Amino acid sequence: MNTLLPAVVSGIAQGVPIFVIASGLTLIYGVMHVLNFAHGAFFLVGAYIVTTVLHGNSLGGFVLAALAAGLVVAALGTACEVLVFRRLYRAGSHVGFLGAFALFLAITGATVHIWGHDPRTVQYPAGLDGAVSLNGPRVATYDLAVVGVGVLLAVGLYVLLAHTSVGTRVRALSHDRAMASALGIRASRIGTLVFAIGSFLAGVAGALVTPVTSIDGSLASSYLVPAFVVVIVGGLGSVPGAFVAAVALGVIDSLLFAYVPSLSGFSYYIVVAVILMIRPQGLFGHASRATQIAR
Amino acid sequence: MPVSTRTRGWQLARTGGVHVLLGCAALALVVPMIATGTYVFTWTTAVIWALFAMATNVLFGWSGLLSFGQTAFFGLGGYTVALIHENRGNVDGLLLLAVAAVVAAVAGAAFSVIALRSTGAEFAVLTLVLAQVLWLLTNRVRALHGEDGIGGLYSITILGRELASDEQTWYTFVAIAAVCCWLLWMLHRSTLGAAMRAVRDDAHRAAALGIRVRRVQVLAFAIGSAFSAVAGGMLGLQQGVVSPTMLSLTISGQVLVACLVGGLRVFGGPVLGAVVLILAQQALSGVATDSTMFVGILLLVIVLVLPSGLTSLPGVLAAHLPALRRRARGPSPVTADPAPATAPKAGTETRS
Repeated sequence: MNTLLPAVVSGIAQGVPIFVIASGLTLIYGVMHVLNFAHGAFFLVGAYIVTTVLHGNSLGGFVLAALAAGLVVAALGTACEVLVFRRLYRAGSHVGFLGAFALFLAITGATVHIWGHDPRTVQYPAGLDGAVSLNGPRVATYDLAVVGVGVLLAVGLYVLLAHTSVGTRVRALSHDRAMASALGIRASRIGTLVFAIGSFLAGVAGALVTPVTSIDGSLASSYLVPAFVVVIVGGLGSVPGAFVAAVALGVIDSLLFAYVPSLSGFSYYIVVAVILMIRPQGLFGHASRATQIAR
Repeated sequence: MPVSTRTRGWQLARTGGVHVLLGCAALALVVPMIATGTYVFTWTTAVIWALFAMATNVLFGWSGLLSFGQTAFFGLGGYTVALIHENRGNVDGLLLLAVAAVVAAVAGAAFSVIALRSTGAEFAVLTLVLAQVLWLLTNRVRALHGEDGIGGLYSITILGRELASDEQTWYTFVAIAAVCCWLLWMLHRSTLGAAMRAVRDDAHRAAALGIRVRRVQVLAFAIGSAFSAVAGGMLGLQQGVVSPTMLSLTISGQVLVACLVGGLRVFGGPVLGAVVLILAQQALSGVATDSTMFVGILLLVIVLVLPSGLTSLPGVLAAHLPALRRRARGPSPVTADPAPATAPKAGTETRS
């Protein structure tokens, strides 16, 4: 019991950034039908921006830096959508993938030119650097804060998708693009918006991981692949699915790390294989139409 | 396809794949004339990549199976060659490559039987997962030596001769690649090749016509894996070392990019794409310390200007030249996209 609770909390905290990336990926897939490789690069840029703008370790400064990362990356993502993806949409998903991969290479390459090869680190924000005692076992404060941010973002996304008119339009487009367009929903405008939201989330996710890891170019793919796995396990296009999958996978990985160290790192891949054997469309995916978002 | 060249002799040559062999022979002779020293080495890399891209295109372009994890079999080939060499020193290189091909074909068939339960993007991510699992294994299994990889592959002989110079390696590897290309061409012309294209275009209709869709897909995966493994083994022989980098995500992406840059629907497209990609990387690495950004930008330009690949260039030019002459500037491609009528196209692929 003494090791179980910290392992679970750190597992959830590990799953949150991946959920935040995956939710953007899955939203974009729902509307644009592109598995956006460039998302890993957006995430990396978010992390680098925090290392650049943040001086000292005040909590307020960290929050502002995270917001700045989100906004800059949102602008970057919007630019990519308008300049690249919108032109590629009609050419089919293969070409969309090629464009996304080209952007991934271009942006990660650019980060090397801007920020160099050396790994960079960020201090824990003041007040979040210790550990608190939860009825005995001790849990890192920053992990708890990350869990809080994750819940906040999940609720925010749920409200946005389920209870606003913009969310209704996003869901309509991912459900049936032709019909939604016939009803007067402007697909390209919603596409840009979804890209902006998705890349904002990627930027914030990048900011969230800065204190717990060292930031270099390999970060892009080391978080992108788990995010892809989470998107698939949750069901393509399903934000709740991504949330459940990210948290579950994070906890499983953390528990394996605590109890069966030789298998840690493989857990994502074992789970995705098992899930796809049982439910090829993912946990929350729809068999006929694998592109539904929050119902 | 150019209509004017369709004479009887040309047709016969195409049926037997003679033009593929002639093309490879011409390449083998021309490159040492225009390239010297390290450039021959670069061209050898390009030929290996061309074979890898061709093998990937069996899945991607011919059968419509998007695999992000072709590096799994590329790496599997390399590591098979290296492991056998480490344990039994004097096995011939050709035999090593053949064993690598068989191992990868079996592994690919077994994997695809399971993974083909899902389709489209889910399938693609499953293949990505396979590559990542193998990558992790290189770090966890001690016999694979982690980051360092397995070295000392220079001493492998091919048909009893060591690959002493870059030129010798070049001729040997072009010969191996030529045989592989010829086999792939014969496959392309065969009924199995036609079945693959039918499955790609419409799996339901193909099934209705009596094609066993799953069997064709599994065969395509096994064949693509086998040739990827040969390419991986060749890269190991050429570099003298295999390392976990061979299994990285970047390599998976690059090989798909090579296919797409060249053009999926033309047999030689991936070859052109791979050669362009490798030569561009080489040229750009001389200009800047890190060429990734420039490769990315180059790709973006190709994607935006020629989304069907470089091999579509003659067709595009033929279509646009009259208009180009009339107006000084070329017709701008579609900028805003107000027509969602074509939208369901992308969605049809995930359905099955």
